[in-house]
Amino acid sequence: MSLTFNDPSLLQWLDTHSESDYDKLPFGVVKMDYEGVVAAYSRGQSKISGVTKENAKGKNFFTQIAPCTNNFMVAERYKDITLDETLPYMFTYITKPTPVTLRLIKGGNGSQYLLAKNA
Amino acid sequence: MLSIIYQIPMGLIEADMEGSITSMNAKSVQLLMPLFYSHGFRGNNINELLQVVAPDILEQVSNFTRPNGNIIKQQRQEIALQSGRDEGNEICLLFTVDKLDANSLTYIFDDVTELYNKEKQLKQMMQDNATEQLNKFEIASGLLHDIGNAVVGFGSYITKIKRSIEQKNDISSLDNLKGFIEKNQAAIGGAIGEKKANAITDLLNGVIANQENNLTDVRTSITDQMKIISHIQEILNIQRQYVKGHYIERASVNLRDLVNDAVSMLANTFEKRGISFSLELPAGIVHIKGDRTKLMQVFLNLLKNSVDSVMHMADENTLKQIRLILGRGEGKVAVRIQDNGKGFDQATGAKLFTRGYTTKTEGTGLGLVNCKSIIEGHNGTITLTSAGEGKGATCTVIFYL
Repeated sequence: MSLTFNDPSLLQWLDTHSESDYDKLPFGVVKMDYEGVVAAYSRGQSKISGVTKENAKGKNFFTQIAPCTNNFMVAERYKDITLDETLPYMFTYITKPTPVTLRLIKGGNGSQYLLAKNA
Repeated sequence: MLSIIYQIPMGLIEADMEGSITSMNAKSVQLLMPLFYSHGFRGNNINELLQVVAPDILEQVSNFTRPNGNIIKQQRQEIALQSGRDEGNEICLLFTVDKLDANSLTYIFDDVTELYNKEKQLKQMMQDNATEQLNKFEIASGLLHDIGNAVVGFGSYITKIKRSIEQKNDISSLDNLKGFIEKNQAAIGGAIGEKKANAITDLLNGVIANQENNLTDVRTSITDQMKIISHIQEILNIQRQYVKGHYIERASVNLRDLVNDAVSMLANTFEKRGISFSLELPAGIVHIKGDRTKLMQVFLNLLKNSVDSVMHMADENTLKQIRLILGRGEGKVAVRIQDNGKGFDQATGAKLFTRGYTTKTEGTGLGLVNCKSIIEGHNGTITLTSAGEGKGATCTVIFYL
């Protein structure tokens, strides 16, 4: 797999692939609907956050899975009509601070993505 | 347990003395990450951020020398946001900082921004209301001032008319003419006939009587007009006191000097009218917060009331006496004015502070009302007592400090 974290065509690839494909990527992927409800949670994301797929799916990412992202830097950015932005952030693996780089992408078909890799 | 700590709705951070964060929960990231980011920090050192947004907290932490214990307890910290949609706004965090051991600190912070904003709104509303109220009072004060000036002008004009009619009427000339005719009645009778001469005298008497009647009517009318003006001025004084009391800052007034000055102003009156006046003042300065001019108006008014009272005593041979005593008590200052004047019965006493009620023939019934209003505006009380008609009266003013 030649896809990189910053690949400009990533949105198209994500829209046309499933969670098992996301698991093979070298970074974490969270697929959500526009309300923030998790549809897919990749293995890479579990490694960074410590949250299992089973625990994440069906829940609201910003309020139940990663409330640390529930601010104007992350959650509120998804209110924009189009979004593809990369920013440094801090996750907590349970309570251990983990510097990460996030890529926030909003698709046009009802899905939005949060990608994360260790900084 | 860790997952509970992770999810609790307040920020929790564990850091070493250098600020390096070893643990942090979701809420702390949610709240602080935008601040770290907006100041260009990575987000792994709390001291870096505190140095910029809350140096006071960092200083207290740095200066804490005990091995452990509470350093800061629920300290409110307003922090300006420098990026994002809320740029220019502030968040307000309630900080508690504890030292766990030689190199371990916990920072607990709660987001009280909503409460802080409500408080700010309430404060702003109160300030706006106060400003609006002040503007209203300023307009009212200006209006009262203008009406007052107009009334003074009107009063001067009436006084001028009064003086003019007293000085420039024709009655004395007619009296002279009448005297001349009466003196020469025989000669005039001889020249034009006695009947005609008598008719001239009668006509003159009639003209003089008419002039006198007219003059009396004009005098009565002018006196009534002066009373009305005086009444309007009393009303304006009360309204001015009300308006002024709402926004004028009160200055320190030495009551001892003020009472002394009021008495000095009336010293001539006491002497001319044969009134024996005695003054008892305590040593030292007696300060209250207030408006010197208004207080002077009160004491002059009360002393004049006593003068009026002793001047209307039933037995004119009794020595007229007025006594003023200034005294200090626990948390209060009292001024007592006693006279041995005409006094009043219980029924009259009950009505003395009623607007419009007066025992004087030319009073407006507003003097004591005005005094009461001014004294109450100075956190004071006024009482007027008498043992009965002919038994004098005592006025007691108490200012609570």
